[in-house]
Amino acid sequence: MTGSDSRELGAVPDGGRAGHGAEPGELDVDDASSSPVGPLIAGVVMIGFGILMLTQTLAIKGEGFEPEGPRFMPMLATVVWLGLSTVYLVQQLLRMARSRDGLPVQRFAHSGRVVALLVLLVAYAYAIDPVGYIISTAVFFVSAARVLGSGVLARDVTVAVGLSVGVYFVFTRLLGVYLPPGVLPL
Amino acid sequence: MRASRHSALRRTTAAAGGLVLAAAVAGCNQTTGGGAAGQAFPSDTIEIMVPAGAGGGWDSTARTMQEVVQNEDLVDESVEVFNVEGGGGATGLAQLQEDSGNPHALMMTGLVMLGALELADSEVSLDNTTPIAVLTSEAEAFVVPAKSPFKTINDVIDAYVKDPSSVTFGGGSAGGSDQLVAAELVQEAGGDASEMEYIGYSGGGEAIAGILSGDVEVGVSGISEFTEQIKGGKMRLLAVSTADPVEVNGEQAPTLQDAGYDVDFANWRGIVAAPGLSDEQRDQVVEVIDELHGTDAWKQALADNNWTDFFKTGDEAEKFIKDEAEKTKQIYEELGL
Amino acid sequence: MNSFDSLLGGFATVLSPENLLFALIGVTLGTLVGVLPGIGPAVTIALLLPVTYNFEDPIPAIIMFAGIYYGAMYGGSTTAILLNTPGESASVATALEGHEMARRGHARAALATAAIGSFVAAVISTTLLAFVAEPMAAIAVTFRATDYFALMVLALVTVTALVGNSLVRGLLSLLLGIMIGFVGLDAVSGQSRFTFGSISLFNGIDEVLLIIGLFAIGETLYVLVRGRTRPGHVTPLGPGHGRGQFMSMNRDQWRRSWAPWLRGAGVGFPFGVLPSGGAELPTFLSYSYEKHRSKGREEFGKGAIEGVAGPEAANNASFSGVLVPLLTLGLPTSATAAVMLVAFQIFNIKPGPQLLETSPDLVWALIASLFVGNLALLAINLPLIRLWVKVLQIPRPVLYAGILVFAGLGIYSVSGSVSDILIAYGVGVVGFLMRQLDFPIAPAILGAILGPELENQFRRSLNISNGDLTVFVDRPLSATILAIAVLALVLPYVPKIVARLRGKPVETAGKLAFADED
Repeated sequence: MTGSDSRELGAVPDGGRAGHGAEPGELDVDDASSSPVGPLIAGVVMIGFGILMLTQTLAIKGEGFEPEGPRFMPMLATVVWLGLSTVYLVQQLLRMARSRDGLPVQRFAHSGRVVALLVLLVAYAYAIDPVGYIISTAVFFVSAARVLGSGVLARDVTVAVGLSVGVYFVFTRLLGVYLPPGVLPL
Repeated sequence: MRASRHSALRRTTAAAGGLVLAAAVAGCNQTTGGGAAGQAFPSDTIEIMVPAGAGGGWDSTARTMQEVVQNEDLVDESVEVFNVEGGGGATGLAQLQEDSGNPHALMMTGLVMLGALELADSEVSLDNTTPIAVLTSEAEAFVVPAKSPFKTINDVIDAYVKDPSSVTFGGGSAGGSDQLVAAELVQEAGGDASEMEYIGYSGGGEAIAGILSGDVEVGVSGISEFTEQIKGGKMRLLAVSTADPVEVNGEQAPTLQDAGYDVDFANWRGIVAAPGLSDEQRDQVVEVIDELHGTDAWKQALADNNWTDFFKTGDEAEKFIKDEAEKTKQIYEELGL
Repeated sequence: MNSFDSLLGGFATVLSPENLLFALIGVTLGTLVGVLPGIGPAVTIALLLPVTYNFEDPIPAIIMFAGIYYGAMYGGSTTAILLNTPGESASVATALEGHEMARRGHARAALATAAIGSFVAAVISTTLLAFVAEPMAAIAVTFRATDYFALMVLALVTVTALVGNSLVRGLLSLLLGIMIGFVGLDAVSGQSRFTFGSISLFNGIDEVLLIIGLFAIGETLYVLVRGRTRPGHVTPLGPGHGRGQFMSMNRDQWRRSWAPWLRGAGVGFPFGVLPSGGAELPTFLSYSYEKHRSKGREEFGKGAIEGVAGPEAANNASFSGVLVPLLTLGLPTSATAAVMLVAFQIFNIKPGPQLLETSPDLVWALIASLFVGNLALLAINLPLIRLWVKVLQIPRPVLYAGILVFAGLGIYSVSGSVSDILIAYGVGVVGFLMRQLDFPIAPAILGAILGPELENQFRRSLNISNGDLTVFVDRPLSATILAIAVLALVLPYVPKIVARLRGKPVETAGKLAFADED
């Protein structure tokens, strides 16, 4: 169902390991290494989020929490959330206590690249209207591919131009979905 | 659930035939937030918001308008209809505020919304719009499922007066015209309207499901919403709310006055534009609606849907809506809703 | 008119050249996107939603979505077999056996049994759907607000409890979705909730943004962090048409496939109809059953064709089953169904008991298009297999950059406002962190879409009962469904509890699910 549940089933070895013909600049495979800190932080953040939502629940206009009103269900959801977040945190703490190694979760590798990709995404969001779909998409594609580890610039540029021009014309001319032309005289 | 399409269409241009180029140009204008003064109307896709779910009275009015405007080529641009559910229209009204100054952003409105806004104690009101026109009025219908023990409207009212908790009414959004007419009826019959159990549904389809499943015993809504079910024999029409008789399914429907209750009530529907329009912009929109009103196709649609022509535009419409808002407020206070 | 005549009417609609073309385009697009590693049918549909935004008529759009769905499913099994990276959990069994088959040089046979099995199962299950739809809608008319509430609770519970491997994480994911669903103006009272005072949140967070953010953007960031940006090793297809083969399978493979196909369809459809979390459970059951009864049991895990044939059939059959509650009750029971519901809403189609009455053309055209979509799949996918293999060999950076471009397109075309795009990115980061910390995604999606509706029915029930909470247990139907929901919540722990009662060590008992438990 979800795009990623495969991992949870744990039965499937990673097909990508036997990589052949790796390109220059491609990222190293970095798999599960032990770090119990991630889930702990997550637990704390979730509790904090729950408290934030609790204040938002109380900010909903109306008095009381009668089940027919607009405040009841948000309250219920928030309270259960807080309870479960606490259970989650305790679970993680217990687990850490049980095994000194902590649980096997993926370390946040390549976090620099994640940040870079997010910056690119945000820049893309702001550029698309003033600059126009074709140019911003092509530039975004090339830079995103590089962040994702591509090392073949010529190929990326070719694909980027083809993709952005193709998408623009198919969507605006054939499918009638508006995309901004921006600085290009289209 | 929320309609995803509103914003989708905001970014859509008309793809039909030779309109592409014009639409692409119009697309550029979009970001500037509607046409500047002196510009021809429409210069972009006209978007009619239905502040309720699909299948209700506003929805069918808006879709009929869309059909007539497009089939009769009244404007060069396309017309889109989208639904924003919630709060008896309050959600849609709040959303319309985002389009301030854009003459292409229209919204259906009516008596239903006045009541709902009154009930919700909403911060925005119809004063925060530019009234364009009042279009139709429609009789309210009281219906029951075919297997209901209620055979006449008198059965319902007698049961209610004896024990208000024995009858559950249901129809459009709480506080809307549907609840209003039910309240007026029981009040008139000597019952206590403040005791009434009323279940509001945000869309004709849902209300029909609620009536047929037995969640509510008596359905109240615009007559056009129940026509299919009455014709199909799934519902029985007990009475209509206007003094003038209405023909449904080839038969004359009994009126509330026939049944001995002095109630004459009609639900009107109209159209408003986003707030902040110049007079010139408003008149341009009014002109299109005026043209629409003059077509034979519109007259046919009125007849098909059992809608009564009830046409006012511009200042006249504005005054009418204001008066109605005042009147609704009074009725609410009297009824203690 | 009986179901058969209506279905013929549906075929008359679908078999116009134009609609056939849409079915073919849908299947091709669906396969093309679905074959990408990590991209399942739900994301595929979400990414391709903008294609139909400007369709005037919903019927071709719906036909296209049926094609996209089946294409995406088939694309997913191709990836599972050749690359051993299932795009969704329902293809895990396929990956287990199918990839082993491929490694032993039987890739074509594995792909063929998946495709033909899917086709057979789809034909059977869609026929069942056609005959169940009308009676089911007739029953659905009698469902009251309390029943709807109970059904929605059940759907949410099953997706949370039966799928994934930790109840706590599943429930947290579900609640996150529900809270996101509450953002915006309350439909009944008009009060703003969870909007942090921002007007741009008054209309709530669009489902499309949510789906694209959680799935597509979250997945890409996740791939990046795990460093999986190399192309996987694509197992070669092996020689083409051999002697004594029909549609890439030899006599023995046909003999071993047909019964699992039929059994898979038999398991898939009913589990799809029931709120049981979609395709995951039936595919798993089919795999276990085939493994259990197979004479060549020792072959399982080393490339047993039954282990591909059964689960693939079950997977496809469950989709027709999922459509039963979706069309007649408006109740999505899996993430994919939730995305389909969003697609329906774009065209202002409100699934529910009235749908067959108000839009019979559409419903029957959809059902007919399921047949046509499958036929199109069989007709173009087996011959085009070399093309899909090429897609699999595209370097990953290019692939994922492409996915981001399409995600951006989907988000932009739905809103066009920078703040909405940023919201989608934020959701994407949340989706990434959820993957990183092993939280399931499906409950969040379903929670966001079903949550507000659930609240709506809850409040309506209480309005009808005058605030009396016993209304949910007074009606036998509602009470039964709620009891099943509670059961579904504890069922996975039964082995553990039994073990504890018998004084056995808990660790050996395990949980009735597909993976380890906390």
